[in-house]
Amino acid sequence: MTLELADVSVRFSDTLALDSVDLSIADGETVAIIGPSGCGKSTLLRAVAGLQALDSGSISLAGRSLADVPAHERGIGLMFQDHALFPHLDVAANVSFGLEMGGVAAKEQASRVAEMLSLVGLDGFADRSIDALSGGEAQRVALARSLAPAPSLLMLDEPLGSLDRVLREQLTADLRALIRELGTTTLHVTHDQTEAFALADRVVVLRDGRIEQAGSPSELWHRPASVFVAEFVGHTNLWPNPMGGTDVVPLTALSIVDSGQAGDVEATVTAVTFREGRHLVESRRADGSMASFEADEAPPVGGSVQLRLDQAKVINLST
Amino acid sequence: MDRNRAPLIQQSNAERSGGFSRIALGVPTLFLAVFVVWPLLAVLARSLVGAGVGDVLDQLTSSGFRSVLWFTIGQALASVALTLLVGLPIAHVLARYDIKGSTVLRALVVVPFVLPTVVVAAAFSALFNRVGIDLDRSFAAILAAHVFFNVAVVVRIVGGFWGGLDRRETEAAMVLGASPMTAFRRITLPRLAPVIAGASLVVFLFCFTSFGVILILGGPTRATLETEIHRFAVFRQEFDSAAILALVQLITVVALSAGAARFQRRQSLASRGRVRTAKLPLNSAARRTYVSLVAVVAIVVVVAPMAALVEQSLRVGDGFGLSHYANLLERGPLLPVAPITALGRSVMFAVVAAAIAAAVGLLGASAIARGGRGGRLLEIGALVPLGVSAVTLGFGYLVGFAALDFRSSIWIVPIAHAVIGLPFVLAATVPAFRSIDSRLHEAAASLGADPATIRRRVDWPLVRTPLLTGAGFAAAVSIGEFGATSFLARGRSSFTAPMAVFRLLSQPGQLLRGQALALSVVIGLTVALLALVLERRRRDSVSLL
Repeated sequence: MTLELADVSVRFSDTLALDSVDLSIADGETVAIIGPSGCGKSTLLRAVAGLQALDSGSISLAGRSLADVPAHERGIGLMFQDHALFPHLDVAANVSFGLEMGGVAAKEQASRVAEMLSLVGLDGFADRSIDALSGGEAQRVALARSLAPAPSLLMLDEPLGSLDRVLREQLTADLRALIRELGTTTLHVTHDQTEAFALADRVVVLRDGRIEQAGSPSELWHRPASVFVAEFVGHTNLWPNPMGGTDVVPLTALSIVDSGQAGDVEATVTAVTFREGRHLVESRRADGSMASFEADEAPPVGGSVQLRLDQAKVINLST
Repeated sequence: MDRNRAPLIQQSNAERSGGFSRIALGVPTLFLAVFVVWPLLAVLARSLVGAGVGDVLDQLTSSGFRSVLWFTIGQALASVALTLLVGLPIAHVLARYDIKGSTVLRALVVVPFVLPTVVVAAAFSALFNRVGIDLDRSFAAILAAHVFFNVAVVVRIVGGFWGGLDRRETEAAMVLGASPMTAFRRITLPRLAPVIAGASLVVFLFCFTSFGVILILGGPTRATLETEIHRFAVFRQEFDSAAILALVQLITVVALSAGAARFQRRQSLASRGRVRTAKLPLNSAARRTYVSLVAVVAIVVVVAPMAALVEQSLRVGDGFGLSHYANLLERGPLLPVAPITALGRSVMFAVVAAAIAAAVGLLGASAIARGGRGGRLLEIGALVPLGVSAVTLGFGYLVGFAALDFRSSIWIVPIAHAVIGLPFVLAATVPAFRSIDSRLHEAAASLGADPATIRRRVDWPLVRTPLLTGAGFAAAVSIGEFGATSFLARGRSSFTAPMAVFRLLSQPGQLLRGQALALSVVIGLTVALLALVLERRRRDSVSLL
């Protein structure tokens, strides 16, 4: 269902956690909000869920204003950071809680719980106690719990935040498949751009409570609106342009030239990391700015390299 | 080099499980055996052997005993109910709302808990006199004093847990469609229930074994098991009857303590992985009214008796003056020594008791932390003084050491106080010992430190502060101790300040009362200041409860 935020502001004592945010999410769309910690992204989710009062602006869901709708009547699914499972209830009771609140009959609850647990790959976990779950299992139960009442909008707050890398990657893939399958409108908050790019149709970069840029993952990467966005999505080579502004140089714009030949750029190698069959080479130009690139052969650390620059791939940000 | 070092470490391990640890286990075990287990066995023997089973049954079925038992249980239950009624809202407000001065309010509510019973009794006596209602020597007076004391228990146990409850659990319930009331009923309340039950049990235990409050505020007609044990043993010298009552008391208290300990364990399980969550702002009129109302009640309940105590201690005739305080230097006809001398005695006893408790506790804590069968046994044994009421303990000394002339020794009171203070020292030091990473020992040993050096350079600096804190609490308890002392203090040399307050309050007369109130203020201030200093040093690891 369509979610619409218009001019939303939230103030905590002397700081603006959200500063006139306008955001519109289409039916069935998956949007990720990324930003450093403290940028207001969790506040945004809490505001939509009705757990945080607005200082100004309005939020509407499917064309209906949520201003006077308390949290428990919004019908929005929210999966909390670190899950917030009810520790005194078992897995089944956690998942069925929302169904029970919605007045679903007991028999239907049981079958829906089984269906949800199966959906997240936890068949047979119904009677487990919350204490006995691993981090990944708790994450799946939390997801099942927020999906069980079939919310019109699903919100995920750092859903994979506390998990280790291998588990994250696996669950990211599972989550993406699940969201696509259900077609639920999803709003997803994370500080990890890889996770956001993997899950979302559209990514919103939030900085100090303001939207810095919104667009597809590819747009953010190829046309970052600011140095902040460029750095946040993972660009490392940011060179001052003599004509003004900053040049963002993707890794792929740089390649090493054969020894003895002159390149466009000279740099000193500071580190080499072997990564997925190639070498990630970090080097610095004379002015100290970073020049990272990939190479088949590792150049010696401390040595100087000549690099060819593919000018067409360079993005100029005029500040 | 390596070849030399390996045997050295082995040798050091062998040595550590040898000499020192034998002393560390042996001394506290002996101390508890002589000063806790033996007196209790003596009471047991006296009640069963001395009186004979027939007499025991006769006494337990007598109507007098039944009415004492019912009154003991009834006043404790009523006190628990009232304490929860006052304490739970305070716990809620402190745990959940973002209010200015919450630190002050929390500290204020906890003050009564550290005050000695005689001081509290004196404060309520002063309050009733000030307000002009004749509640002295009534059931209501007992309940009021018990609530004053135990609100701290509820606020501390329940409030501490409540504040640590992840608010997002409630929010998760609300997002899933639970109204605030439903979320409270289905999520918060089930989480709190075992903690509230545990706190209630602790409060019940305190009220069941309450002695000074009942003796002073209840008057002669309101007898509980504790005051009856005292009456039979001290005034009527009927040890057999007292022993039977003490046996009933002992069984009840041990059973309740075991229950309380289980709740505490469950609570510590339930509080695992807790998170600090943002407190609720006071952003609506309803919230502001509720919080103000609770704060006012808390302040009135806690401050009124203390303020009345101070005010009445300063009242001379129709005006104010310090003459009651000046009178503390004089020995009246009623007391064996001047109140100021008794106070000096109390302080001296507190220092000696704290030193004994610290020495025994330090050894005991290291043995308990090391574990093994001896350590576990010691850990259980060291909890016994917590479960046994001071009155039963004092009576046990009367019976158990009757043959020796030990009772007339000046040491008996500080030793009894040390036994009562020992659990506080252990509560502070055992976790400190346990938290020492064994790799620190291994690292020190690999760097060439012998076991004695490791104890001095690694262990001691890490346990020193908790030990001081625990010993400080033991001293605070000793200064105000009344139950055991009232059995053991004999003559001038062991007459303590709380004894003086009791003696002065139990006689009619404005002058004596004024003196009692002034002395109570001085005792209360001493203990409160000590507790305040200790509280500041406390690093949450030490809990009074």
